[in-house]
Amino acid sequence: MTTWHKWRTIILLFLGSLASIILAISLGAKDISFMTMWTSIFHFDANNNLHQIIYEIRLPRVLGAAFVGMAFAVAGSIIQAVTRNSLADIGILGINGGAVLFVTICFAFYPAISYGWLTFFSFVGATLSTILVFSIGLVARGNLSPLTFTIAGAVIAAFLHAISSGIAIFFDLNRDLAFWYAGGVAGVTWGQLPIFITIVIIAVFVAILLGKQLTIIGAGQEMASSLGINIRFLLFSSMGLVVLLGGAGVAVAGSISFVGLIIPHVARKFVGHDYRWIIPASALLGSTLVVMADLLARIIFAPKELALGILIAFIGVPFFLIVAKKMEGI
Amino acid sequence: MAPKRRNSLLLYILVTLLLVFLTFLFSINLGSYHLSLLEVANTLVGHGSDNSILVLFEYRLPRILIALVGGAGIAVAGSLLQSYTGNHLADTGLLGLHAGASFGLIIFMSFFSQSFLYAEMLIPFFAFIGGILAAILIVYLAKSKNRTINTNKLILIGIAVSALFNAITLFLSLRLSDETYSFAASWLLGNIWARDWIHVSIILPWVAIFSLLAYRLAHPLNLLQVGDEFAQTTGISVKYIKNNALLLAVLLSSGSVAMVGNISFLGLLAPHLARQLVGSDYRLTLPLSAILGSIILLLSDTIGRSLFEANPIPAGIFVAFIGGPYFIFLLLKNNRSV
Repeated sequence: MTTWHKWRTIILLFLGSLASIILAISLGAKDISFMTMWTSIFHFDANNNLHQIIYEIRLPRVLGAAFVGMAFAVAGSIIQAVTRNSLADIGILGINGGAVLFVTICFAFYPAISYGWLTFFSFVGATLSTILVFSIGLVARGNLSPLTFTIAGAVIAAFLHAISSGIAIFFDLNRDLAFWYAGGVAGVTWGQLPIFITIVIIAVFVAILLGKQLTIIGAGQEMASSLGINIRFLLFSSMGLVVLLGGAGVAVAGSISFVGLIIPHVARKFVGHDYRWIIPASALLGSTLVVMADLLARIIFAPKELALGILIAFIGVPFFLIVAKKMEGI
Repeated sequence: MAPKRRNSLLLYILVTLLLVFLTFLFSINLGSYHLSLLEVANTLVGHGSDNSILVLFEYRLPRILIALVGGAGIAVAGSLLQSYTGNHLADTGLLGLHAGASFGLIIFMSFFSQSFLYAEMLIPFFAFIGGILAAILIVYLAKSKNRTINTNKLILIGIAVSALFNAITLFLSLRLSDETYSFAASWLLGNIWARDWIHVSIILPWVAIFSLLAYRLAHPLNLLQVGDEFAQTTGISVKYIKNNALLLAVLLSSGSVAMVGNISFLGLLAPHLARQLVGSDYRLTLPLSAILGSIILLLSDTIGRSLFEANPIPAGIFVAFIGGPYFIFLLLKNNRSV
């Protein structure tokens, strides 16, 4: 695959992502034409009802979905490279679970918390659960196989979920159950987007810069150190990126599993095994997946909405099973 | 069984039954309506006030019995599943049997719950159909080409199938009505929803019959522990025994969780505690895990409803709080010994 082919793929994926965003803005309880959308963005008229719908409801939600998908997909790519585990995903491994726990605690004790602080505590939670999950790998004498590591992560995810649910029930936070159960972007507001989008874009950019090292470490640590890569620094900075992306994503949309599992596999099919290309491709594919899934969640049973995480689980679980079935031994 | 063994078993059974009784007393005393021990005793022998009779016989007693029986059923199912998979980490919740049962339960709740008087009688059957669907799917997916089962892979596939059935359950319930959705959501957290005598009369015979059948498997299961080849030489059919163990595990777990909600890790905790106490003889561990399962579930439910009166916390959350870390501990220990 030449560089030109890869550039072409990235451009096509970008156009696909853009098309999904336009489609998601125009479809819904009220269908809106492309022209109206255009004028509402470039000649906003506060008295126009359709402009109001686009600006106040659709646009923040769709942009939220796009960047949440980007965050979870890129975090998934990084963690699959670092752990060399093709089943890894920040939702499945319980990293999101820690972020959700801290977000829940914030809502319980200080419901009026600002979005900035919420994001901060979400990072703290994601960091702690990342440390928890990876220290299990260290405590185990002998290497944990990818299967065992994934099981440990899944159990930690279940454990953290139980605690969050307990807190949510006790403090009567269950008004929006879907957030704790499966995540969703229905509640995204303009107030959240600037910080969130900035974090995601910076993190994705840094991840692309680390792409070359990630590719080498994905091939084996011995080789990486023989090529003069500072492994400790690489692991530290890439886990930092995972925590940033996961924490920011959870603060906006709750925990959505499987995006970070599916997308890197699909991205590899498009651009091969070089993480300098996998990461941008994952970002674009992730945003397309979540935007389209959220669109489906809104329209298939309108006026009722389906929880986004449930819809993605329907695609994600079969995918997980296929990958797991192919894996070798314990 | 040597006489000494038998005595120690009797001792364990007596001590644990005493614990059950103490938990029972603890549980029956606690709740939003306060009853003193004396009032409870008076009411139980038939001298209570109308109020205490109502609270005790209509609210607390059936709920306590359901927790006791359900806990026993899940614990025995966990024992059987560990023997079927040959993996001490197997848990009926983690492997997706509970999620399968929830699918059956939601189908029943949505379409058949009002169909005729005492329709509740059908609940365990619906849950069983869901549970067996999940079991077949997991075993089918975990089999590799040479028809052997990698047990860690089985657990991982169980976790995924569990996520799938949970998603189906939430999807269906959301589609049906808001009440069904909140029922499903609280069921998934392990909320003991069944609280009437009718539910006691369904779950008690179900768990009693299948637990007795499970006990009849105790001897062949002991032989299986030594190794499949060894068991074969003693003239039992390994395949037959294993399939029976799986079938009974599904029957017991789905019948129980249909009433007590999705209690994960109990099928792991109780058998492990039992093995710690009396070793690995299934004739001892099966009854003992049943009793320990009862105690754990009743305690969790009692704490959840009495300590957090305003917004009771589902029993499943407490069990997971203990069971999750314990699972990780076992996982790491097993990894070390490999």
